[in-house]
Amino acid sequence: MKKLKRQQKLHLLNRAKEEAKKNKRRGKQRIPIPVNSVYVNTRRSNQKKVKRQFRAAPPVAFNLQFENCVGVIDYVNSIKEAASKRWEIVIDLSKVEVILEGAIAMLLSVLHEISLRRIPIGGNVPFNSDARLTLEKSGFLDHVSVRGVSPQHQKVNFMRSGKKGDTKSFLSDQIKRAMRTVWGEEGRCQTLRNVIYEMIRNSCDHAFDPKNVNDVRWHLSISFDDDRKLVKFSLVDNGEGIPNTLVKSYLTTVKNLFKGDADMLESAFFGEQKSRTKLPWRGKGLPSIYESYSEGKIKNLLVISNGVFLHFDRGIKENLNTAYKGTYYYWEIDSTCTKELFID
Amino acid sequence: MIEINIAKEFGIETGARTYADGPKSGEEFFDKLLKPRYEQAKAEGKQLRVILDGTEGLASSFLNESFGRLGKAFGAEDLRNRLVLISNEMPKYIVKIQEAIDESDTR
Repeated sequence: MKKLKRQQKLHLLNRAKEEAKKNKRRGKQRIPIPVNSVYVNTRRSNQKKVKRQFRAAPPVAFNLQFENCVGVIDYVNSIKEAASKRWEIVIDLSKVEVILEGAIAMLLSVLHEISLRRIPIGGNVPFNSDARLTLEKSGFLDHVSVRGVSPQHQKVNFMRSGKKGDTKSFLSDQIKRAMRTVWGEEGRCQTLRNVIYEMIRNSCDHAFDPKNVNDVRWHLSISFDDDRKLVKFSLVDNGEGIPNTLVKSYLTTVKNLFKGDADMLESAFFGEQKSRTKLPWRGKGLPSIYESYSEGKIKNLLVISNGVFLHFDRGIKENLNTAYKGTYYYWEIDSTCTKELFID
Repeated sequence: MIEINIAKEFGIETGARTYADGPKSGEEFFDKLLKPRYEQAKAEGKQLRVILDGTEGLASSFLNESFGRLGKAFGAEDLRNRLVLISNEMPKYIVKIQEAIDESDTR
């Protein structure tokens, strides 16, 4: 290292002293910031690369019911777009009145992706107490810095992200916990585990560009409601989406050309789409998920992929005006489901 | 009779389809256990009994990949006579395996 001359040393010393004085003055002028105001933690980010701030109001009804899903998907898409430009992200949920676990899972999956790119994320929580309670239980505050707000309720949800090839041994404990919530005793539920495995494998196999297979990420969220004996599951990936993959597949049939995306996705669950690998024993993943639903082992199965909304319970099969790049699954288990519990 | 107990010999937490999907895949099960034992059973003129109970779950992709490959390698007719499947917990696994075997035999 080059040795500094005396003059250079003095210059650096004076500059440091000036900087220290400035910092001291700033500290004295600091104005207290109101609780629940938007706060973006930029300490861990590379501030030079951050250009602007994204701040848009999400829908007041922040859930993925058919009536509200377009607003949520548009909001999530706009966050993704802002993040692609490396803008700071501000999640302003203050005016949200109704929020449900599925939409939170979709939002968190996107925020998780963004945080991996070290883009600062800040935000606030709803003023509505019910919505705030749901948000706190979801673990949202683990991902978003909210100034002056500490969770008043314990996080009861489970969330895990992963990529292709990751071990999923954590599932056994979560399934046992789900069984305890619904049936009052711990045990194995093979169908539930198989459903999650097929969804994750399908995300990795079909929902992503094979060239970018190492970038594949899925996000599983499980919400336990002991009072209602209800467990809610969400699985999200931010890949290509099933209809897009079916269209790109070289096994796209002439029949598919005349089908809308919604019909095509539904037929994939009914086992009417062949695997693009051409191996005859493959292509059973989505049908096995639907089979578990039709047997009553899981309920309220909802799928959003690209511009398609499928809700089997409500018989909704629609092409949306907006598109979600990736696939979102939601389903539930409660005491009205067909009981499958193996106690060792 | 030669036997494979998946839960005891391969693991109670099995994986998905191929090695790329993670550990304990159907492809791994076929390579390490199913194929060698089947070959042994065939060489000795015995049946192969596969016990499917006791696991945390056997995904369709796991069953289809392992038994689909077995069907492709040895033919559905040979498997029908030699393979004995035991699944008291989840009887539908047997149906799935039989479908995979039938579909895999393209000879």
